[in-house]
Amino acid sequence: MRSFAFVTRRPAGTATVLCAGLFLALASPRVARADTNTPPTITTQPASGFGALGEDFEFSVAATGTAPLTYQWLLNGAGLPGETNTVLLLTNLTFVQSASFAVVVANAAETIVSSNATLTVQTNAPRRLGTGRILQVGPQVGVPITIRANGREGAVYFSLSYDTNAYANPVFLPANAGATVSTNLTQPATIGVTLTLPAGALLPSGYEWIGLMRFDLAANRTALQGGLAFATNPVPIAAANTNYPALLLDANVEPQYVLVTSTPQINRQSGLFEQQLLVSNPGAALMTNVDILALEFGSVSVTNSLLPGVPQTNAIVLLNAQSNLLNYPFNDPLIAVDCTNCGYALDLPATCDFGSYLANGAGACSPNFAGTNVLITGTNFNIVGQFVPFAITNVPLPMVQLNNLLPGETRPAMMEFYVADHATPPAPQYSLYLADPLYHTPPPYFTMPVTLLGTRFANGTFLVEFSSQLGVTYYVQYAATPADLATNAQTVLPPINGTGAHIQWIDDGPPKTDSPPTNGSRFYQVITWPQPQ
Amino acid sequence: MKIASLPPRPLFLTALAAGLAAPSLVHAQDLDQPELSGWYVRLGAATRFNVKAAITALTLPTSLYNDGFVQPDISGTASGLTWNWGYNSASQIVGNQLVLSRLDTPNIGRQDLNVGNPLLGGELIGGYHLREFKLGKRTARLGVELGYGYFSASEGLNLAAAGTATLTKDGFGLGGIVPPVAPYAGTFAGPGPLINLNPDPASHTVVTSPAAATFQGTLNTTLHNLRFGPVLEVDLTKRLSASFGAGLSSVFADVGLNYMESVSFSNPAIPALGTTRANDTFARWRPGVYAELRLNYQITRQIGVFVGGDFQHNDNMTFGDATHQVTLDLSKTYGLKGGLSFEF
Repeated sequence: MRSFAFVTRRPAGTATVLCAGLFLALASPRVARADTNTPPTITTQPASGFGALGEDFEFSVAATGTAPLTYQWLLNGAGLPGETNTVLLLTNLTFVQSASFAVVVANAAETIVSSNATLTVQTNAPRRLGTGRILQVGPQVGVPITIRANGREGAVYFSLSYDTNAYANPVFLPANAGATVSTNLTQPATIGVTLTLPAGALLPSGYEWIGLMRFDLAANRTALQGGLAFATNPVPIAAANTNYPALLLDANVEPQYVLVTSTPQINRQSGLFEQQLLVSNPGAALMTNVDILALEFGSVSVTNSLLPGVPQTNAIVLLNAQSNLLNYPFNDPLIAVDCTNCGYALDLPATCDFGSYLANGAGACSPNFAGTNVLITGTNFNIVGQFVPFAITNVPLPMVQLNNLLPGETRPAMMEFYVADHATPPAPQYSLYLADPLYHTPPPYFTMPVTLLGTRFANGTFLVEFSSQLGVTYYVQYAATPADLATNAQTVLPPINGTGAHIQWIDDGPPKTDSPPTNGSRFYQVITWPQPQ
Repeated sequence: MKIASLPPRPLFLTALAAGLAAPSLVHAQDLDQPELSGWYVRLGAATRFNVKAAITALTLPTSLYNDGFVQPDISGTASGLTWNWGYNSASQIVGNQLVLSRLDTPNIGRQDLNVGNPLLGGELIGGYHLREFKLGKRTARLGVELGYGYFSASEGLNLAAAGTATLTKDGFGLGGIVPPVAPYAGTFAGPGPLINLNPDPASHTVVTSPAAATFQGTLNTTLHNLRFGPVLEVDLTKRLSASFGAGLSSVFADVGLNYMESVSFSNPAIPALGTTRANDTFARWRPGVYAELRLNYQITRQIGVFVGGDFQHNDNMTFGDATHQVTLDLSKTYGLKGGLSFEF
């Protein structure tokens, strides 16, 4: 057995060098000879990566130097018995294998150690298959299929089921014109897709869209009523390359939205800028946690006459944000669906087709699918022009949530922005995704009812009025009947911070309440703790 | 520290001593009494001069109305909208406008008052001789004193004014909002319903009328005067000594203004106003300093009489309501006092 030393040139004819505590010393001195050997050089270092529980993962190294070259893989600095090839294949991953790996490469002239590469084993697969913003061209719809890849995927397999009352005649159009696509239509209302990139090609790490599923749309249905669902039959959901035929791959159909209000408009009743979205569930499953993330709504500098010389800056706030998002699993959202130049509508111009869309060319037929992912750096939120990994640096992002979105259901959501100068329209970008539920109940000690000054129905909204005190928090609750109000009230988020003034709270439907109110349909109470003095 | 007992002193200041019940002669047995402890108390009547007050009738700032306000909010004025507005009554909503009224009437302006002139009261002082020493040929004592004084006075007010009353009404466009239930007061930072910041020129109306105003009331003033400071006492004769003290003072001023005010108009277009009655009270500690000069005549070793005067400076204070403001001036007050002293 050969022995070696770390980063230590071994003079010709010398005897022994230690080996990381695993290998014995050289068995015997070598015969002195002329030093014509070329030391090993690592030309490709092992690369860090992610793996999922039960999945396989492979490290590899490439080195040059005078043969024979020997290899020994290390786990946290300790040798792995028997792992002496250029490739280290780890199968059926466990959390124990979340560790640092390296490889020792040696020849007669020298022994060197590669750089460390880290394997992170996660509960869920970091690969994720999703749907992008659904587009429509005349009687056809296009469902972009997106993937978050690790950079090792040469093929993607999946099945997509659909509601035949809405969609028909599915055709998968690959984004990579050189890719090989085969479809399987053996199962009813489902299309199986096998997408294989050209030989040697791999999906880049990060977000990528791999193609577009085109359907014919039934005349009596909308583009968002396709009842989509990723399925495992006839083609299981997986990614693969030549070494790994079954890389784990999550898949989710993502919520969709369109803007009802193209630019936020001021509502003099609330004093806030409002922008209404229609959020839809194009999938076949119930969506219970649709979060709407608001990005890049800007700021405004105000100088007012009562505080001369004191500018009020950063005074655009998403006022009905129910929470702030701090972290995503694996540092990315499931899919941030957005389309910066889509004209705030699903429709592409009639003169376009999905081929033009896929070509991503210039002009109206290229809605610039950029913005499917967001890159967040520092305190600025930038919708970037390319598919890039998502990153967040401790920037709280305001968000609101819609609950229980049925398949095919579309629900309005009114986003409210406080704008200090009453004049600068916010320019928000929205990102929709599925996340953990919020708690829709106030703390248990918030039980003290507040006397309402009035509840009126006006202009399609309920106006709930009560006196507030500065520093006191108020929760509005509602129900369909007075009895329900006492025992089964829904609680509105966010709570209201008292201003010391009389508050006129407006119920104009989601996301504050589950549906737009109608006259006589709703009863309210306001609770707080402690009781205002 | 013990202070040596005083020797019997000759009769002095007969005019002052005549008014005192204490014996005017020192008895022989005084010589046999033990040394005094250095503690003493002085109790007497006191007055305070030059406590002044002024009452001022307030007028509404130009941007306010008697029954509401519309002011710029955090946005400034550029947008022409504001959520910093308020009103009192549903009757002020007329169509799609908020109507606010402002009545400017003749008033008493500013009137100076001499409170009590002087205020009468009493004073209790406790002190301790820290050290006795020679000052030239005279015996002197250095000590500290803590005093409390109480003064009270009541001043009647009967004032009148005449002039022109002006009733102004402005209408502010609501822009289709549903006004919050009255009474309502928005805030500077908001948010809240937005209405027009500037009144509709067509809604602006002005009515004038000759008017007469009367103001009657009472200003009640009570001062609790605490003082603390060092005192130097120098014997002028065997029985007569002079003291000079100075230090910190703090006056707890408890002041109340009760009044009723009425305005009458000749033009019936301006609705008659009822009589306004108010009772405003205010109490605060006012810090300051004092200086005092006192003459003491020792009748016996333990009993004496004193007279003195002082100057005191304390901070002023202001109080009132939405229509009237009272300022109490304690910056230059003088006191006279006299009474008995007891040494232990």
